[in-house]
Amino acid sequence: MANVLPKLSPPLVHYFEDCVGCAACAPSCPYYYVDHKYAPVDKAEFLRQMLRSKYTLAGKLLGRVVGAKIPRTDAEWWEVMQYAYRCADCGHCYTTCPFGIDSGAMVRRLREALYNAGYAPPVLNELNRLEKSGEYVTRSKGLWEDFVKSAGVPVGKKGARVLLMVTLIDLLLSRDVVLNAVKILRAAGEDFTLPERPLGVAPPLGAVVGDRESLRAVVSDIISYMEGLSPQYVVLISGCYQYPYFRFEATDVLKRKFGFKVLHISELLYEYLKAGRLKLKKLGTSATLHDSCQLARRGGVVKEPREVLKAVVNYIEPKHGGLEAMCLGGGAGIALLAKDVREAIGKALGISAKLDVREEKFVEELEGDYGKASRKGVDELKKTGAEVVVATCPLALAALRASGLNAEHFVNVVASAVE
Amino acid sequence: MSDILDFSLEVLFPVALVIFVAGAAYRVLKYVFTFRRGVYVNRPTGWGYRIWRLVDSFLHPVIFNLKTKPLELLNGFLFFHILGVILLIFLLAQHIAYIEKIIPFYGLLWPLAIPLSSSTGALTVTSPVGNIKFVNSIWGPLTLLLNGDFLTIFAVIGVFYKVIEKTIEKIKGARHVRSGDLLIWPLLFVIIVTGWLTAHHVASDMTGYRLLLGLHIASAALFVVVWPFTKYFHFIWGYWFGKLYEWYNLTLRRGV
Ligand code: SF4
Ligand code: SF4
Repeated sequence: MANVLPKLSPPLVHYFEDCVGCAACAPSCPYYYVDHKYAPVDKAEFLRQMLRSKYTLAGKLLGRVVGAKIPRTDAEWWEVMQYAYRCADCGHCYTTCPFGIDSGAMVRRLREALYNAGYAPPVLNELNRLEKSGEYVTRSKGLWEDFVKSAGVPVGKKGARVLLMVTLIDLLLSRDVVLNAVKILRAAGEDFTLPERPLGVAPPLGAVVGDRESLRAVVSDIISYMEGLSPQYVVLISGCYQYPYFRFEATDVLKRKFGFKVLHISELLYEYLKAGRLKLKKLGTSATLHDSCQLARRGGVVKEPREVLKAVVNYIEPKHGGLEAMCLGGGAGIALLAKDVREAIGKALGISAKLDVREEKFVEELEGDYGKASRKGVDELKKTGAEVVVATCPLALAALRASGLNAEHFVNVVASAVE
Repeated sequence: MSDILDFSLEVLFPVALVIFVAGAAYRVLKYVFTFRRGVYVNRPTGWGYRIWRLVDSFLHPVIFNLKTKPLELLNGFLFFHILGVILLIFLLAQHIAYIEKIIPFYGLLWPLAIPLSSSTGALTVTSPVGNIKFVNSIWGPLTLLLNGDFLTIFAVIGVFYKVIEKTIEKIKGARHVRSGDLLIWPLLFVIIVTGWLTAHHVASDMTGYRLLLGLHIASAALFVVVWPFTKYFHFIWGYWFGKLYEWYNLTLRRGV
């Protein structure tokens, strides 16, 4: 079983050996408020237990006495899965740990151990399979053609300045947002193109379920496609985990630099504003921003969406924004497991949504916990008194709306202010 | 070698230092041998921002902890780490006198020396005959608080708080209370108590005094031995590496 575990690297050695167990990280986690047993340190500890078994002499000789343990039974692995999927990889515990221990990164590695041992939530597993094999392209052909027709813009144009990255999730959950992004780019007189096919389901799903081979294959496939079109900028609409992966990690996954720059659409719009390329009118509404953990805390895109919003609404800053953003708990694939989302994707891709009893229970409980986890963040946004809560990620948007907030996608708000 | 004091000073401590150096090298070299060069492209940021982020990465956990777990910050960080341990280990006059014997320039810290109690500035280790040193430090009236007795109380409160907190958490089933904790907290307690008893000359005869001081130094030697292999290493390495790496990873590598 030991070969299911990741190899050591300097950060992993640090996360593994240097946690003092002070639990200062605990209150930063949205799932800690669901149940204290989901404190970041305690989730990461499952991986530490496994690493002790593999990499320490004491662990090999004394086993559980020194906290070294690799799950043996199916029930034990399922228990680990329950913990590993109570982490949105939001990075909040990383910056609040006095030692800079990234428990979210540990949970990512824990999911790898789980995947290597044959464990992943069935829905995510199937989506990963479709993404890895490329089968999602054929399955979504009709949907894509229909979308491209309605967008009425160049597709697969070589040498366009901007390539708008559209994933299947963008299309399924927020087709209006993609079309509004197109509207804004047109209004700015941008030379842009859409891809000829969706670029991943919600790439890289391999990173979500812990399938490193898939992560590499999917990133490689999407980057080669992008390079084939040789744009100057690849612009992402989603503010979710695609941003850190394609902006920062893809070069390391493929071990080379690319000929284009990756931007979030808010960064591009901010450039337009500075250059006077986009005329926006004031909408007269008050709005606050729900920062996406991946875009803001793990990506550093904090100023740009704010500056753009300030040009169109009366902007109210939430109590904890930017690098201290409150996580809603849906990142790292959790929001994809919510019933409505799951069913919408399942229907579009022709996946049977049938789960066995244990899987059903797992997904249902997780969905319930996800709802509870988002409460703190939602309440804080409510307290701003803003008429609209703006979000940069379709999944966060769904969670905000489900909590009764009047929420709108960043791109849609800007599009409605285009003169 | 007549007693435990001589044995601790002449044998245990040097051996402990050798084990410490070997253990520390082993821990640190792991980072070197598992290193692999990455390929990264960051968002551009200015140096002013980068430096602010460096300061903030050290400051942020303290502020967050103050808001979310004030009791923990007070006991665990302020009483225990700052007042109880760091000041006591490095600035107690007796300790300066001892370390100065091994590392002569450590004597430069004399102006910061902390006396044993608020009522005496005289060093018990060097008194009563010859070469009496007085703790004539910059602390002035602050020695009412900044003295060995008070700081020992803080350290003991800190240790007890930690032991009780860990025990409660363990009973509740927290996974992060580890077997190593069982070793290090009692050890710290023994070091503090034997140190306090020695410094106050609780044993009335010379044999008793040498026994207590011997035990104090022996337990300190044990501390030095386990230092690189337990969470105590955070003081030397984990804390600094962790925060600096976080800064490198987020701010320099990504531009956050
Ligand atoms: S991860 Fe950091 S904050 Fe959390 S228990 Fe470990 S050392 Fe403390
Ligand atoms: S990354 Fe976020 S969700 Fe995951 S353990 Fe840390 S605080 Fe919790």
